[in-house]
Amino acid sequence: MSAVLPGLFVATCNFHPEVLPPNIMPDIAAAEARTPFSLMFEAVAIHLIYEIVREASLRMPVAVGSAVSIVGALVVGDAAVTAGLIAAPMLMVVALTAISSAVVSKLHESVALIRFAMILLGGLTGFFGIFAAGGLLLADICGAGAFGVPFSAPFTPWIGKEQSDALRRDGWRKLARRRQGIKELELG
Amino acid sequence: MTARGGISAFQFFCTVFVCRAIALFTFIITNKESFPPGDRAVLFAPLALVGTAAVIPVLLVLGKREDRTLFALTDRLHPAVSKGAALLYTAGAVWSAGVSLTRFDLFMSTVMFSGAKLWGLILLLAASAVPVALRGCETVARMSLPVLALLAASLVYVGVTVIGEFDPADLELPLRNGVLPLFRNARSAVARTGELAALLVFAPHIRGGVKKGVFLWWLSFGVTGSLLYTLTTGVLGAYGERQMFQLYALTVLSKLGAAERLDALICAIWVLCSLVRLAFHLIVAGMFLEGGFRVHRGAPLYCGLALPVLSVYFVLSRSVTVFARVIGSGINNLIFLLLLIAAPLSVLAAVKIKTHVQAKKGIL
Repeated sequence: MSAVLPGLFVATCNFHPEVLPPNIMPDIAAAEARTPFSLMFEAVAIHLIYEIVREASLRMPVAVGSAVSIVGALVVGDAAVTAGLIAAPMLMVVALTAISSAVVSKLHESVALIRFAMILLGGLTGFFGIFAAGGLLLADICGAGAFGVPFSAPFTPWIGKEQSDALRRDGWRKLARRRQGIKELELG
Repeated sequence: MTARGGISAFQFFCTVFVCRAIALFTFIITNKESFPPGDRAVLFAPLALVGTAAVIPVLLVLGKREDRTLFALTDRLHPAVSKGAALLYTAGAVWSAGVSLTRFDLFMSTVMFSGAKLWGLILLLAASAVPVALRGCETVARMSLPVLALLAASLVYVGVTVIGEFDPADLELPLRNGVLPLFRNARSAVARTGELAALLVFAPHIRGGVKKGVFLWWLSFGVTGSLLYTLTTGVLGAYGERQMFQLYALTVLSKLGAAERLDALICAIWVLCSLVRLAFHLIVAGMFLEGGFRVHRGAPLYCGLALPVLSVYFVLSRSVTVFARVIGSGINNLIFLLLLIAAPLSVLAAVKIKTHVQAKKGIL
């Protein structure tokens, strides 16, 4: 969500507005029509500002850092929407992206880069560029592994007996008896 | 991935399925009379039979243990034969990749971005396929499973949302023109499936029963195609017959609650299929060149292979008329006959004769 949401939003509004429900589409179109910039430029600029605010708050002392965040998020964001520089839907997308990027904070830097690439691809080629880049990411995940076990296992390659400890967690007793499965996975 | 390395037969056939799926979605039925709607519902049965029979020469090359490559045989004959075979199969893979790119371009520029020049998107696709191919056959095989899952989910979504519009009155009885046209259509469909020639170099990397998998693959592919085309006929009726891309017309109709039209999103999944297909063809071409010329399968090779693929695309995509003429000329049949039947059988026969002669002379 953090990586692709802004890109998908830009692609949807620029190339595939028919995907949006008919009662939402006019509101978004009206909000975007009031801003002077293209949607892609808006998305890139606002994400750059967000990254600057984030970096600034990281380097500030804790007490001042939160103030910078508040000024950045509330004051600048609200003023930009009121001044008609950016549209409210875009601000909402950025806010959602920022919150979701905090879920796995260790990946923030790499996800931020991917996000910018997705915005550019979404703005230039629509869903198709995003999915082509998504395919590259998928290949990267599928190609990676540790100690002979692919990162994407047990989903791909599909290992039926490992599924019980994939999306949900097995009990410790069951996990203790699971070594056979791992051995088979390693030896193919 | 594992100590033994390689991919399972299931993964291999999933990859080939994804590769064929995009060809199925962008397939254009030019003549309703030659492919009557009634026959489409039962096409899977002759397809499975004809398809399996057509792959027998390839399976014979693989041997009893299903781990022999074509080059294990051609090297026994003469190094020049290996080189010739490598060039032949590489050209086949490059041609197939170029044609599928053109078909995809035709589809996109017809229904998604009417009249637009999409070479930028195709270049992006080719540029993405090279790094994917560089990661090897295991990565592409692993990648194909989530892509297949996405594809299946999108098709189920389309099926569920349009099933209310299904009108059995639009269906026709099968075999109205007899059995022969059905088998003729099955043969044409099989002739478009050159991907299984990849078994000639993939075999040592595949674990499990390839021979059993071939029949099941043809059956599952045929059943999927028959179901989709029956659904299309029942839902679209006479309107569907006027559509160039019938399955796309079906996705346009699908809507569920707030989601009014998700055809762009569904077609974006087809981009993933195209990516897998292109990467697969690049890998196959690279493996054939590696087998024949002992070249290293690296970035220069894949970039070098992407260039002729793009050249084929640029030549064919210049004019729809030229593309239709080339495809209608029966070149696919010729390529299929050459790559999957004539070449493997010739190599097998030549090896048999050479072994027999050597045994007679007392060399073996």
